Amino acid sequence: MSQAILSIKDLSIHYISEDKIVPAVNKVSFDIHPGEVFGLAGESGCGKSTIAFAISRLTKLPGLITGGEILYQGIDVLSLNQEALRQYRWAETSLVFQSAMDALNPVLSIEEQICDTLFAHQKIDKKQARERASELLELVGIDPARMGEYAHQFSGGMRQRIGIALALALKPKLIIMDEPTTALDVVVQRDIIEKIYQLKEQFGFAVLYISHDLSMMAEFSDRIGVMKDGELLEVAPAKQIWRQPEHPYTRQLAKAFMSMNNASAGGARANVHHQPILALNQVSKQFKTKAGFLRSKPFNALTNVSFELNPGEAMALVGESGSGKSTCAKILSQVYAPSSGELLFHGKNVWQEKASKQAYRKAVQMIFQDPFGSLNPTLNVGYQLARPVQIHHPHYSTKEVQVRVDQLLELVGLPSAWARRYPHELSGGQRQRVAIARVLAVEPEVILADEPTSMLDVSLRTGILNLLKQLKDDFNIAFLYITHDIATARYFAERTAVMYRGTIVEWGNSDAVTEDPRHPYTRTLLEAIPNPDHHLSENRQTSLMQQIWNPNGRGCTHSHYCEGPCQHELTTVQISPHHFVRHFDFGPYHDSLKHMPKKRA
Amino acid sequence: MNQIDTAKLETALNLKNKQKFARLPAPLRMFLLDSKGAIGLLMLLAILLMSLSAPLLSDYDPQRRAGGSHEPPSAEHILGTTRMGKDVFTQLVYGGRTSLLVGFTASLLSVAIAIVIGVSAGYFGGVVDELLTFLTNVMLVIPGLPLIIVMASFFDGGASPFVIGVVFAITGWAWSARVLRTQTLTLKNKEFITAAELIGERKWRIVLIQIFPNMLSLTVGGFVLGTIYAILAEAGLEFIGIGDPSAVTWGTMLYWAQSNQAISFGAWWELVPPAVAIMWTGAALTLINFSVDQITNPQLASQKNQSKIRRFLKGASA
Repeated sequence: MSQAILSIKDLSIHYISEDKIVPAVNKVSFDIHPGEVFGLAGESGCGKSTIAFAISRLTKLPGLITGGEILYQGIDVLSLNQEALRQYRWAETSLVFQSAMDALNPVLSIEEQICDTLFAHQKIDKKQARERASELLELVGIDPARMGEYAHQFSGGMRQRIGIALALALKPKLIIMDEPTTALDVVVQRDIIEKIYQLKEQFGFAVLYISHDLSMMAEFSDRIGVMKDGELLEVAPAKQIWRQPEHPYTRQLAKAFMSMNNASAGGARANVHHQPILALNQVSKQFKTKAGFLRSKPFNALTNVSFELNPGEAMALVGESGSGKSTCAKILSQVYAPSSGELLFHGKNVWQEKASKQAYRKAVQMIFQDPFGSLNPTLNVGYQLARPVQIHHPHYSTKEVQVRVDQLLELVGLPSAWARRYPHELSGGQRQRVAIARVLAVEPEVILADEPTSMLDVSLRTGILNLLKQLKDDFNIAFLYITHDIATARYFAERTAVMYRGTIVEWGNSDAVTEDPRHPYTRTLLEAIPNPDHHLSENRQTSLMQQIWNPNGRGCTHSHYCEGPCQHELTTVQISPHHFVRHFDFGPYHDSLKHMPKKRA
Repeated sequence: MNQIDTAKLETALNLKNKQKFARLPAPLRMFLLDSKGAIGLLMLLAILLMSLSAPLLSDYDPQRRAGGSHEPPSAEHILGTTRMGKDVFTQLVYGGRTSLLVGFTASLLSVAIAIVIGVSAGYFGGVVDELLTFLTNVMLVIPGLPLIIVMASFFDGGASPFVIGVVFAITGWAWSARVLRTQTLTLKNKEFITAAELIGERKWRIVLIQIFPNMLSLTVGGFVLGTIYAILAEAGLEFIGIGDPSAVTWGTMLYWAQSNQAISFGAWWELVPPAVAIMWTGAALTLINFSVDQITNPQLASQKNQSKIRRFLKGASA
């Protein structure tokens, strides 16, 4: 093999906290070769980002490089002086960050930012810089005409593309990507990763790809290093890590994905013909968006959405961000009132009858996405669990409340002694368990779970989903599971509904929807699931998604073509007894749609 | 690249010693580990103790003649006497009682008003917010000191220290209320507040138990700063003669020292002790405020060790 472009030898990094020195990276060594994609996998806190910062020499106190060396093409990076460092950074190695919104300057236009980067390192005039900037944007698939716009005017995926364009600006030989797609939807994630791969093939730079998602990594990288607690456990070709992992920890990581991707929750219960607990009937929601001075334009967030939730059954609502799934959850948790349609609770319209509204409050509870935001940092676990018990059982004695709290902790698999702990003493997964226990304390009939695992490490996700499954069966609770990941939807929920631009486009038994997808968007979602058995270089075909999926799209499928309340009637086609799909107008009809006359409200 | 010996660094930074405090709750630990906070706290305790034990420290009556006019410090009169022959030390310790009490109560009162108004405005929003924010803004643009002078002048024979304190409380809450309102707005959107609402928690409990403790350090910071302001302003008002001259406080001591032309008689002991006492209290509270700042802002705390680490690294590479 050719000489390594970057070689790290026995790198150690420590963090100096208030009262102790904590090792973050412990004697890590690896090489990256030219044109190679090297994946660094591990859970949050394992030290992988610390290494990325050290390579660019961005380590700052309280972080301290305590030993080892970083050689870039034979040059010792750790002993470079300021000027040499300035030339090395960005021109030789550049960075793509996780959050593109934070990485881009909000008060500079895209053009100014790219040109600034160029001027700092090259002696070129304004015109040349502009040309280069538009060339770079074209490379990453952004219309150069939008060059004068600002970061907030672009969607998350497009911002990340701009971040990549910036990283490419000086033709570096190594690009470090720190979780470049973690904050993005699956479809956008796939889109970005394919773009990076294509650019890599074109320019031959090497990539250090840092992520906690082993399956995406196996598809994208040539070699993978697995890290845990600051140590590099093993380095091997991607396929080998996936198929025959050597280290028990890697095996455990890989298994967590396998079980998720291949299992199914079983079909919907056939005998459910009694009244559903909760039903949405033709619910629509419109928001007013600003369209100039004193004018507003209605924006259809939800259009004619209907579904029902049955006891002991989970329904998954799958879709990208902006598809309306969170608006659905907010209508169900009574944050928003629907613009039209009805919300039925045991057959009664909640927004009309006050009595049922209060019963509803108690019966419908919510589990949040972010376990760090959903527990109050100043109150201990015991208090946070005791309160709902006290509220709903005012006659309970202190002793009885205590017993119930212990019981709740046991239900979610935590020792009862932890009631005295504070949230900051718990890990993300443990916090999510406490949040689940708090919801159970109310003894709800319906639980709305809004991406309950998306902020957790993959190895913890299965545990949380299994816990929820267990609770669903034991207490006969109805679940609405909101996610952008159709694979976990199938693992957890009996029924799946796919949302796209504010409507449910395909619904039915999870197995039927995932095995025989009919709607192009469902297919796109399924295609976006990482397929670690095939490297990106093996299966490159233009996917359906590129034909129908528009990164600028928001709202209703037709929102680009008409204004006012939706007047499109989309017919429903029944595929099988438990599988329906909405008639769709994409693909060959896509062009004809553009010529539809604008309808005025 | 030199290898850095972490064990040596640990000794250089004296971290072992700090681990002993690891079991204490974080705010208390920071206070004790931060030399500024600890010194400030000791200084404040000293002056508080001195004022509280005033009757034990002195046999004289602060209001009565205890010796000749302008006697210099001696065994009998530790800090000498005033022109009226009153014992300066006795006046100092008794005056501290009033000055500190007024400072703390005024500040406590104004923080209490700020909490009620700021948190309610932030949490309830809507019309409540509009009204309370309007009130806050009105209070903010009213110049405090002139208002106090006008209000105090309504009282015959000058305003008593407590009247001055109450006036301070009423005029001084607006700024903290604004800060607390903003903080409440941020906290209100946290998911744990939504979760508390979903389990059916009552509104006042959400405000008091879920939201308020999260702003405690901010409130304490506001309280400390408010106390400094109240003590200084009270002394200032009494010095210029707005207060009740028969009350014994640090401010009136300065007032009498000035009107009796203590300096031209060479009686520095009438002037210096109250001035030093005011400075001492102000310094103590400022030091405490530095520490409180660090607790509120962990970023500051993490920078604390940096100069020591840099020095160690220089030593290691040399």
